[in-house]
Amino acid sequence: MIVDFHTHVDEAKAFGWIDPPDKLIPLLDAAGIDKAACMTYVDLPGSNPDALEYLAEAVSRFPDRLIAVARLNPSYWREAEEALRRAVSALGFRGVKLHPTTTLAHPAHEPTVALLQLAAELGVPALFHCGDDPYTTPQAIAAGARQAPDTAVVLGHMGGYFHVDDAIAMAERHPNLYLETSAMPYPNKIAEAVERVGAERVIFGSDGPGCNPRLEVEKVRMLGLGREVDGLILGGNATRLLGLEEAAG
Amino acid sequence: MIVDALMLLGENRFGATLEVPDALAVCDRLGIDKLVAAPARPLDYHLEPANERLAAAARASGGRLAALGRVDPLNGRAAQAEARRCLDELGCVGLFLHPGEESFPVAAARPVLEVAAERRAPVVVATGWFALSEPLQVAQAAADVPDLPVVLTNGGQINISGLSMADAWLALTSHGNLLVMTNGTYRQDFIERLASELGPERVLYASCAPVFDPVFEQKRIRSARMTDEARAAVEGGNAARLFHL
Repeated sequence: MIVDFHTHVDEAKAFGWIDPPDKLIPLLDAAGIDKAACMTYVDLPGSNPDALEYLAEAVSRFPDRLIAVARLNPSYWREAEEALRRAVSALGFRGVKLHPTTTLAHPAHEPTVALLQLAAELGVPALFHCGDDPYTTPQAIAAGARQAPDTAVVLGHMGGYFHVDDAIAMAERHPNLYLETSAMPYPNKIAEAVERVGAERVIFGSDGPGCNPRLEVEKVRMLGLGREVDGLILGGNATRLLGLEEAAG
Repeated sequence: MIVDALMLLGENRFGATLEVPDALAVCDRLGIDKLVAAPARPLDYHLEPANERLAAAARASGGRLAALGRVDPLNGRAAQAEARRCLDELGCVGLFLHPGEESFPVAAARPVLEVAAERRAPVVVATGWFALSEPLQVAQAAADVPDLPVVLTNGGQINISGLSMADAWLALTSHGNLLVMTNGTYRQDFIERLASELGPERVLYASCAPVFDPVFEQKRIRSARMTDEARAAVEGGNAARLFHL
């Protein structure tokens, strides 16, 4: 089973990014992806007050394909925590997405750390946008992850363009950090990550539909890492982190 | 005809080295007919011998390889002289500027751009480096030489949050002398938008190997949806026309 840990379903008019679930599903089909964790482009609370309902509706239309992840703004503190509790406990969401570029919430500051700790309490992982901007670097996120050692913290894009080596180095030091492959443009760095941190902590993501899921799958497969490693990266690890077997059982 | 419009060849102080024979072997494997390349920055920092080596390899390649001359605008008049030497004596088909690796703001390249403009020789600019070659900074520099084709690498932007796409789009749509390469572009739908809305005649397939993986970069452009006519232009027609291959 191929599981995509990072896709988007949203209609963010301010960005001009209009990507309803009907746009994503055919791309998943073309890539042979069975299930995808999906999240919005903008944050709740704040600029996207109906985000949870929008995602819940999308998942209800494609219950065998989509897994909802709540994109939250930690700066709203208790409101964000309440939103995560409601998302996971009442709506069946399986994770939290944090994008410090849009929330301006530093990964190592108290509101974010509190949300990370709550994620562990609820048994769901936290996916960070991890790239080259301040607040999103592997070191900044690692500083937060250190304060929430029981939380599975996933470095989305595994460092972007200029911080990929840093992302691998941080994952080597912190066992609760995972590396997610979406849009990162250097395929060989995935192989290096497997060698240095182990295949159990490297997770396939596409960042579709903007990034082409089929191309992103090929980025992993072209490395020839072998069936077992491919199985972990392309689905096994995400199944474990998202609790998909428990959900099915 | 398939053309990879940019590789960085020879000894490289900033990362992996890819030599000309190995690059041409990659092209053979990938069905690439012609290659345009600039010298990587060698360990000794001296670009002039690197330009000579690559230009000699291009002359000996039977038309398979075309060279771009690489200059450092911070060298002042010597940079202009090297640009003239590359274009007038070494047979280079254009110039290559790397504000990130040479640490200069692209605005400082104006005298070099003027040398290229006098000869109508295209200039490829490594684009997307913070404070040095942001897309709107390159556009501003290109505005001073409106008849000069200026080619932006990396889809005109380097930012995995997607927020630089707007500036790259603004730069490209407001300056008709800008073209753009596909290497490493975030995201694939941006490449498709470039080909369909900006116009396929302004988009060039390039790998920028060895910084980026040439196999994956070919998969990147092959996975982008576009018409057959647009694909022919992007994958080779535009580079052949621009660089007179």
